[in-house]
Amino acid sequence: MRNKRSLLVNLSGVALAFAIAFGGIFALWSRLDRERAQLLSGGGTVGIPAGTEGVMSKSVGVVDVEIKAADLSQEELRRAVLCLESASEKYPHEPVPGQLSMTEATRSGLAWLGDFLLPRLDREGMIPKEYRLSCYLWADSQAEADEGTDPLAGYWEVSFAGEELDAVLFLNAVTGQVLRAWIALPYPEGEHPDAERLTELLEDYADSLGVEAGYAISMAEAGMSDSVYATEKQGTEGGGTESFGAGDGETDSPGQGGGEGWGFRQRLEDQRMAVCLEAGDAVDAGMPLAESGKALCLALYLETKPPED
Amino acid sequence: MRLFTKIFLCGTLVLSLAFSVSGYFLLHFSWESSMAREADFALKQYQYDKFTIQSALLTYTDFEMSLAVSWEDAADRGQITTWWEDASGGTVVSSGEEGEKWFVKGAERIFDRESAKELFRILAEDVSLPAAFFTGDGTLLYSGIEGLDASFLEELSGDAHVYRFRETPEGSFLLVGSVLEQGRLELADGMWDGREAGEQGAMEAEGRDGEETGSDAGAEAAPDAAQAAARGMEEAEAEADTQTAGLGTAQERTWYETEDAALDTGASGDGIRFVTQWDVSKTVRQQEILQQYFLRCYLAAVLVGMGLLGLLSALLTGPLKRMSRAAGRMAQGDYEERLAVRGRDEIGELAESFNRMAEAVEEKVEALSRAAREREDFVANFAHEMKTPMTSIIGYADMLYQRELSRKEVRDASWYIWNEGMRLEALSLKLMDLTVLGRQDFPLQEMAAEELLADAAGGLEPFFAEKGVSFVLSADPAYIRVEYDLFKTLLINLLDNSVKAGCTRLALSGTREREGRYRICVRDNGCGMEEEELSRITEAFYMVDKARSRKQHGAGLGLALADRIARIHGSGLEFRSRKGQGTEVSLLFSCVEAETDDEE
Repeated sequence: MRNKRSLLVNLSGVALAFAIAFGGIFALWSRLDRERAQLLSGGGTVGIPAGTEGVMSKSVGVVDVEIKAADLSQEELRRAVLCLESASEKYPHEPVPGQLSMTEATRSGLAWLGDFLLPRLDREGMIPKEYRLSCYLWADSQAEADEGTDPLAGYWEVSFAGEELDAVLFLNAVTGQVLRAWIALPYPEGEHPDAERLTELLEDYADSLGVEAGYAISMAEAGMSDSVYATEKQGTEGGGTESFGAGDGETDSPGQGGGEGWGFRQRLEDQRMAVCLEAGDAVDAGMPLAESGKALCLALYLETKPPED
Repeated sequence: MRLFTKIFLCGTLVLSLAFSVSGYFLLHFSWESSMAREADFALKQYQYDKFTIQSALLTYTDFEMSLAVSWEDAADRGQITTWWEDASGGTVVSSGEEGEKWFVKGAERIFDRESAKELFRILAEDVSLPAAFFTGDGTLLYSGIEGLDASFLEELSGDAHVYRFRETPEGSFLLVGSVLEQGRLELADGMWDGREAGEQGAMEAEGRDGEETGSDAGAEAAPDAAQAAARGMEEAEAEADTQTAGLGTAQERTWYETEDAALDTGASGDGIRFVTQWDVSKTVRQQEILQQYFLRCYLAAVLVGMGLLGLLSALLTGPLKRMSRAAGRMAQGDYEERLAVRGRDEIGELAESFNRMAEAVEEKVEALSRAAREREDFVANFAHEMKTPMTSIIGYADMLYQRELSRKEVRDASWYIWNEGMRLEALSLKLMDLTVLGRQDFPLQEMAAEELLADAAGGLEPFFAEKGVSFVLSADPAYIRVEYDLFKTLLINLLDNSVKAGCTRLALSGTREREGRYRICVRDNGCGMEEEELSRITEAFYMVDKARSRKQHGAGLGLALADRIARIHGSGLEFRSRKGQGTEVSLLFSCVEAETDDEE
C-alpha cells in the first residue's frame, strides 16, 4: 500500500515536471502572440512643430526685387554652410519654429531666380511658367530632425525642372538665403556669357551674402595659355585667390568646365569663407536640361575655409 | 517523494523559468525594436513623400490655394488651358487636352470628380509607396490602399504625423498619414467675371442661377461670392498688365461654381489627408520565424535538460542507495560492510564517514563480544576456581562428619579445609580488587620513582631473604605520575610472581630513557614460560602451572590485577621470557627529570 502511494506520488512529480516544461512553452507562446497582436494594432503620433515664421530676406514679388543685405551674421552663415558641407545623411523633417514653410522657401527660390540670377544673365522676366517643383527640408542628423535644436542647421532643397530652366537651390531654412545653386539654362550652342558678366554675378552674389572678400580676382577661361594664369595670380591681405584652369575642377557641381568645351571658374575669398562660380556647357548627370547639350550650366556656392592656425 | 523526483522537478522548474523569462524579454525587445525601427523608416519615407506631394501641389494650385479655371471662346476651344493665379500677381499656365474635361462653357460642370481623381492619381505616381488622398470630410480623392479604415482618417491632423499598424490577409503594413500643408482646394462659389467690374450684379445673378442648378453650396456661397468678387477686383487691377500665354489678360478669368462635393472641402478649408502604406510584412515574418525558432530551441533544450536532470538525479541518488543497502546489511550483522569511496565531493565524504562509522561499530561489537567472552570465561573460571576448593572443603568436612577419624586424620582433614579456605579468601580479595579497579577513577600524583621502587622492595626484603632470593635494586632519579597504593600493589605482584616462579636472583630497575620515558623492569631467573603462554598470562584465572599456583594459594588473578593497574597508569606489561631461563616484565611511564643536587 505504501509502495503504491509512493509510486503514485513520484509519478505525479514527474508529470508535474513535464506540465511545467510544456506549460511554460505554451504560456510564452500565448503571451508573445498577444503582444504581437497588440503591437500590430497599435500606433503612435509624431508631433509636427507648431507654426513656422519664416524670415523672408527678400520680397515675394517676382518683379522689382531688391537685393538686401544678408540676414545671417557671418558666423551664422559660416555655420550654415558648414552644416551643408558636412551633411552625410539627409533626414527630412517638418519646419520647426523659426524655419520657412515650403511655400515661403519656394517663393524665396523663385524670387532669387527671377530677381537676382536671371537678370544678370540677360534672362530678365523669364521665370519659367511651367516647371516641376520639388521641395525638401533636410537636417544633417536624426537628432536635428527630431528635436530641431538648431533651425540654422536645416536647409531647403528646392528644385525647379522645366523646359526653360533647371535649378536646384539650397536655401538656408531660416532666412531663405541661397547657399548653393546649380542652374541649367537653354543657351544657343557655341555661345556663352562673357567673363565680365559672370564675374559681376559672382561679386553681386558675394555682396548679397555679406561676404567681404578683400581680394584680387583672377580668372581663367578655356583656351588661354598657362602663362596667363601665372602672371595673373596674386596674393592679398585678408585672403587669397586661386586661379583655375579649364578642366581643373574638383567640386561636384554640375556643369563644371572640364574636358572639351567652354568652361569658367572663379573664386572669391575672405579669411573664412569663399564664394565660387563655375560655368560651362558640359553635360553632367542629374539635370535634364543640362543633358540636352544645349544649355549653360552654372554652379554658384559658398565654401568654408579651415581656420588659419 | 523520492529525491530523484525532487531533483528532477526542481531542475525542470528552474530550467523552464529561466528559458521562459529570458526568452520573453528577448523576443519582446526584438519585436518592439523592430517595429520601432520600421516606424522610423516609414515616418522618414512619409516625410519625404509628403514633401514630394506638397511640392507637386504647389505647381497645380496657386499659393493662395485657389483653383481657377477659364474658358475660352468657342473658336479657341481646342486649346484648353488651365491657369493658376499666383498670390504675388504672377500667373503660371499649363496646357491640357480637351479630353480632360477641364473646361466647359457656360453653366456646365467644369471640374468633376474624375478630374480630381486623375490629378491625385498622377500625384500618387510620384510616391514610392501605395498612397491615398482624402478631403477634409473624408471623401475619397484617390486610393491605392485597399481596405483603408475610416477611423484612421479621423485621427489625422496637421499637427502630427499619425501612424498605425495594420494586418490584412495580404500582409502587415504601417499606415502613416497627416494633413498636407498644400492642397486646400477652395473653390470660390458663385461666378465672377473680372473683365467688367460693373457687372458685379450680373455675377451675383449668375451665382443665384448657379444655386438653381442644384448646388446647395451656392446658397451659402452668396456672401463668399461677394468676397471673392471684391478680391478679384483688386487683383484684376493689379494684374492689368500681366500677360498669360494664349489667354490674353489675366482679367479674363471666370470663377465657376461647382456642385462637386468632392472638391468642396468645406467652409473651414481643411487640408487634404495624405496617407501612405509601408510594408512591414517581411519584418513581421522574420520576427515570427525568430519566435518559432526560439520556441523550438526552448522545447529541445527543455527536453534535453530533463533527460540530463534524470541522469544527474540517478548519479546523485545512486551512491545514497548503495549506502542505504550497506547500512541495512550492517543492521543485519555484517559489520565488515564497507563502501567504495569515489571522488572527494560530499558523497565521497559521506562514504568515508560511513566507513569510519562501520569500523567503529565493528570494533565496538568486537570489543563487546570480547568482553562478553571474557566475562563468560571469567565466570566460568571463577566458578571452577570456587568449585575446586569448595569440593575439597565439603569433602573433608563430610568425612569429618561421617566417619570416626583418628587424630592425625582429623588434623590432616582440618589442614586441607583451612588451606582451601585460605585460597578462597585470597581469591575473593583479588576479585574485589579487580572489581574496584574497574569502577574507580584514580588520581595520579608525581612521585620520585627511585623512592617508590625502594619502598616497594623494602617491604619484601624479609620475604626475599626467607626464600633465599638475591634482590638487586637500581633506579635512575626521575618523577613519574602514579597512584601510590596501586603502584606498590603492582610491583609487589610482579616481585611475588617472580619468587613463585622459583627464582634465585631478582632485579628491580628503573631506567630513564629518551623522550621523557621511564622504564621499570623486573627480571628474574625463574622457570620462565613458553612464548605462546605470554599472550594469555594477564587473563584472569589463567595459570601456566596450575598445580604450582594452587599450592601457593594462587588463583591466576595476580598478573590480571597488575595488568589492570598498569593500564590505569597509562602503561602496559611487556613480557619477555624463556622457558627455564627466566622472565622479564617491564612497564613504561612518562617522567620528568629529577632536579640535581646542584640545582637544589
